[in-house]
Amino acid sequence: MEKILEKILSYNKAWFGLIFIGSVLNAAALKLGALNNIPNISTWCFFVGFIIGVIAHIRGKWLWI
Amino acid sequence: MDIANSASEEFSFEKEKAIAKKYAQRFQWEMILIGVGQACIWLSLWPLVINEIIPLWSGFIIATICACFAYLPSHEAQHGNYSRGNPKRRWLDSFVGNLTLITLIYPYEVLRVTHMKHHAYANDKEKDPDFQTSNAKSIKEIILLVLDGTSPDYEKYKEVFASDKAFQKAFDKGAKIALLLRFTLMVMVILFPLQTLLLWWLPAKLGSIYTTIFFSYYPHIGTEQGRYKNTRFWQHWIPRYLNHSMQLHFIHHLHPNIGHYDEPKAIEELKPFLIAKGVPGAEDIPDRVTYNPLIKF
Repeated sequence: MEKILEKILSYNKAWFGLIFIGSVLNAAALKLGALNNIPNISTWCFFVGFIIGVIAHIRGKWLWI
Repeated sequence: MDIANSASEEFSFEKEKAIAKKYAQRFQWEMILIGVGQACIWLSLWPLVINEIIPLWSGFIIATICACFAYLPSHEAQHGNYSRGNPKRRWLDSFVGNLTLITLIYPYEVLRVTHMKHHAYANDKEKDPDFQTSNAKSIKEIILLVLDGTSPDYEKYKEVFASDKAFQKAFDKGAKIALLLRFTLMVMVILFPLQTLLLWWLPAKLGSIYTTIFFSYYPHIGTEQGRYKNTRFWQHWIPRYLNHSMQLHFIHHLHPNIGHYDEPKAIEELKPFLIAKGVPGAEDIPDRVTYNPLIKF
């Protein structure tokens, strides 16, 4: 159980991207009426968040510093 | 007895310590009020914003101010300055230390043990957990480091102090709190995305930037290793009341048990010792520090 948890946590940046950035992008998109016409907008928002997280995970950091 | 010996006797560590001890007795009620107060205000923002009693933008501003006030009460707790060695009051250190850091999304125990190492090894490239930020080249570098979340690299110091059992035990305890905080953040962002961004995550980042710049960067610019050399007296265009009087941080490195609000008076009395011991910038310390904003353009 502990090893599974460790494995999940080792992808913390990808999870953060998916859940945190995805949720924020989704909420922002819903607030912006102009984006409401895009089909599956929520899926796209979470996908973009996840991709940002995966890139950060691969690079080991979020920013280009 | 020659002049050098009489001077060293006049400014002996024992005498310095005796003076410092006078200012390390008082109960730090102001800091408890700030720590618990900011946490309560910050918590109250959630129902106020969610129920649209106050707008999100004003909640963001208040949350950011709370985040800027969040670290110092925990810092006093890290040094045991609430319990003052009384085992019956130790819960107070832990309570205030943990509660106030929720705003900043930091685990108290991890900050406590790494801060103790910062005091023990200030400016040591390998062992000082604050080295990266206290020796940063610019404020821009600090902002980027904090935003990136890679500073300080606590996992690295878990390895550096692998043989220190007390450090490891406290670190592991703190890691569980860190996990709980992260989990809570994730739950909250699913339920209240924009509120979590603007009431918690972004204010925590801004509060961390503020704290790192004034607590870690400015006090250590151009300093070396060594008890009297690792922190300096400095002045700034910002009045000290807006940066938690971090111009006076050097006295905290010399005598961490002096209460934060008692530091100006302690410095006034200890000034000859600080000059004699060669504390960087000590000759510029004004005779009256209390109520002095220490502004310098």
